[in-house]
Amino acid sequence: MKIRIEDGVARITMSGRFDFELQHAFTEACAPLLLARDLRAIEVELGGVDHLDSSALGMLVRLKVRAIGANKSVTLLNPSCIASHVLEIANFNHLFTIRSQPQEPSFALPR
Amino acid sequence: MTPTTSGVEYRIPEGEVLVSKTDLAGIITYCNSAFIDACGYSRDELMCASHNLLRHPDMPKLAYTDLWHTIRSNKPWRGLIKNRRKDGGYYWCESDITPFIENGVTTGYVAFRYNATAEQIAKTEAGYRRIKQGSPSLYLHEGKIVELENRLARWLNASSIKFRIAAFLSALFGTLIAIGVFNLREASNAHRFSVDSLEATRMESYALDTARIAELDTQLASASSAAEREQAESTFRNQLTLLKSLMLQTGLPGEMVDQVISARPGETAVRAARLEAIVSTIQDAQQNRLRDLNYALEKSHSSERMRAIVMLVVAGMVGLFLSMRFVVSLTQPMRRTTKSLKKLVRLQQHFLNIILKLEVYRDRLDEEQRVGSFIMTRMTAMDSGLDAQIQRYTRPAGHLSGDVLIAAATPSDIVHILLADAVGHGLTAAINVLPLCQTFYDLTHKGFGIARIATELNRMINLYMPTDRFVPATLVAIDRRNRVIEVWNGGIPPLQLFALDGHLVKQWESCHLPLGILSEANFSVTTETHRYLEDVQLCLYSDGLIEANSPAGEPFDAARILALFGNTPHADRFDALLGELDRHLGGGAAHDDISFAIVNISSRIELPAPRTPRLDPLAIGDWKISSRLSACELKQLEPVALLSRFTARLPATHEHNATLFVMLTELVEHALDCGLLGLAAHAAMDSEQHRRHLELRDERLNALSGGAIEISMEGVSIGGEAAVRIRIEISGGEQPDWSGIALTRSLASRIEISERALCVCYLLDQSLL
Repeated sequence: MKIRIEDGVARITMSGRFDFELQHAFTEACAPLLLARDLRAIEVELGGVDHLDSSALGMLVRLKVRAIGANKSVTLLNPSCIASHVLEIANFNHLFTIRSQPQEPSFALPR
Repeated sequence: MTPTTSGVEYRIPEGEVLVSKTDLAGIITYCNSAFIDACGYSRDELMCASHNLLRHPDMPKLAYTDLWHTIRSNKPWRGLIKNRRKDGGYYWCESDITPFIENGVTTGYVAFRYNATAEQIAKTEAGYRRIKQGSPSLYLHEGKIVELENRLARWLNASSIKFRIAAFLSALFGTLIAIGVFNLREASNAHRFSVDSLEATRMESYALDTARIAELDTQLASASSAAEREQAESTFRNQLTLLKSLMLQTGLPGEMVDQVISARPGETAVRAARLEAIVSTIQDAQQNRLRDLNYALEKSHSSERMRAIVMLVVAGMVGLFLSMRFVVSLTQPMRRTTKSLKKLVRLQQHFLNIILKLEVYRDRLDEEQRVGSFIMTRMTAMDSGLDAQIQRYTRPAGHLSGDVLIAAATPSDIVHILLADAVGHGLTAAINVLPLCQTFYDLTHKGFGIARIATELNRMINLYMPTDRFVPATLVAIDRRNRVIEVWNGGIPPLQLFALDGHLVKQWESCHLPLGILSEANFSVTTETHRYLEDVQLCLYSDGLIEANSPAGEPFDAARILALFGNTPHADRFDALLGELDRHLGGGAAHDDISFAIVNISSRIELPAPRTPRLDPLAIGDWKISSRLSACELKQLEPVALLSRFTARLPATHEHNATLFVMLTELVEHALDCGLLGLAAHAAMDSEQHRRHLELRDERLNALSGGAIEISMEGVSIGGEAAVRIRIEISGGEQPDWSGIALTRSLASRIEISERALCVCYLLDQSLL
């Protein structure tokens, strides 16, 4: 789990197994993000996730509910094939914005 | 008696710690479960038993002697022990045994045992065997096998305690005899010395006497006549010659006599003076000799005393040396009780306390799970009679399953199935789903439809559970009378309907969010129906099934289920699926709860069997219930469920509630559909027609603005028999032809159709029909 904050957007990159084991770490990692005033959006990158269980869905829902309270948006990014299958069964597209975007280029784009 | 043993070895699992505590006498007062597993006895057998119970005959006695000697002197013992199991097998363990000290007082001993490596075991086993065979070069010190280098130490170590006592006594007596012999020799020397001294003294006295006589002669020579003088002179000279020889014999200077002789006979005074000098010389010599003798005797006596003391001390030391074994250990390198060892003792006690605390927690958890799984089993028991149609399987990942797969039938025999898969697993997941069961049963038994049940379950979870504890679930209603399957699926893998030949007829994808996420206002209860015309099988499963990983990490996969249904005769599919899952898991544990069910749905319409009355027909009582439902209520309420709640409570109709419910459902549906909504009766429609029919029905119901249905039920007596009369009146719509009420016709004793109303009489005693 890696977190990068850039231009008011926090990106949490999950990889490997996203399951019950990460419950504590994930909640701990999200707490400061929810408190940060200048943060507009939280993105959860799911590209490298090879397993996603119902606990992970629970963590995402909780993040979402708390983010709404803190006036921030939550977006799921590039869910891997396995992750998107789980999200689809749970119909999480009704709950979250799920966006697939190409990997960011490594050089800075002119603004 | 030697306990029976077998060569079967038990290996302590890696990372396991066997813990036991004994009192000062070695009686077990505590042991943990790993210890119980290892030794094969039950907890009851071990508690209050002596630790000796586990002694293996291969262990040398010396090891236990060393162990008890070490721990009784408040030092930790660490070594390898081979223990005997109840079944005669054995296990090797590396044991850390320390005294247990409470408030400064040793109250018992604590042992921690770990898995020993094969290398350690081989080395120790060889050592113990040699000790048992009586090898004198090995002994144990605080659990360590010590090989003796020193030959004397080896010899001493081999000697028995009797030998040591004999050696001690013989050393003591030997020394006493030696002292006696030595002192005897010394005494005879002293005796000889004193005899010699006395002899010398006698000679000296003789010389002294001679000198005195000579002195006397000198005076005589001066006093008498010449002849006498001549004689005296010659006597005097003889005396002097004798004196000289005596003096020479006793080691006195003889020249002094010569000086007397050399003096002229007339010089009496000179002679007298010289003789006087000789006398005093002899007297001095005599005194000196006596003093020497005295000194020699004194010296001899004191040296004897000193010698005796020294030799006795030496003998004592030698005896001790021979008899005490700790002297042997002094010659060997050894560990001493230092601060670090005391720290070890403290650490062990700390560990034990933690372990004891953890066990309390574990016991509490076990108890909670036991109660949890008891409640779970009771709550998830299906209605009797459904087992024949529904084959279900639940495999929890832990003690408790977060999956619930239950079924119940409504009074009109519509079978409801709930499959819920709570987030996570274990106790928290079970707590999440348990309240759902009761609500599901309750509403089903009251006759509410699955849309209403889904709404209620969603409301409950949304209200009572934490946000992240939502419940993916699916609800199925199988209406065999109308051959319709209705499904609401929120977050469960697609439900699949198979024909008996194995081809997939229909699939219900998940099209809603799981229960508990949305508030009641946003919750969607849209269900999807399917009408079947032949026998079918419905398969539903939680995601735990398709995500179950084999030991190689390969998931079970939905495609495998499709293939299995295609290849297997319908009656064997459940067992085949179960077998396939077991093979797939390969004995491993699943990481999530797994549930699946196969529902056999027959296309034959079975009517609920009329029940035998147990009631006195006259006890029908005097009651009437009537309700009028206009368009608004008809859209929102389920009138039949409401009415049947009343008849279910009434003692007279309680037994007949299912039948009444069926009739009421048929009548109200017919009145609404064919009367107010103007729809054709839906007798033989295929799935597509049925779907269109339902759409049309929803459309017209939503658009309904006028009209009402008035339903009344009352207890009556027809020809002396107790009966229930149901009257349905439709206002503001067409009067239906009441042709599609086949069930009611088969159940009612009399049906009267008037211009606006329908009257049905139902005899409570069906045998009178």
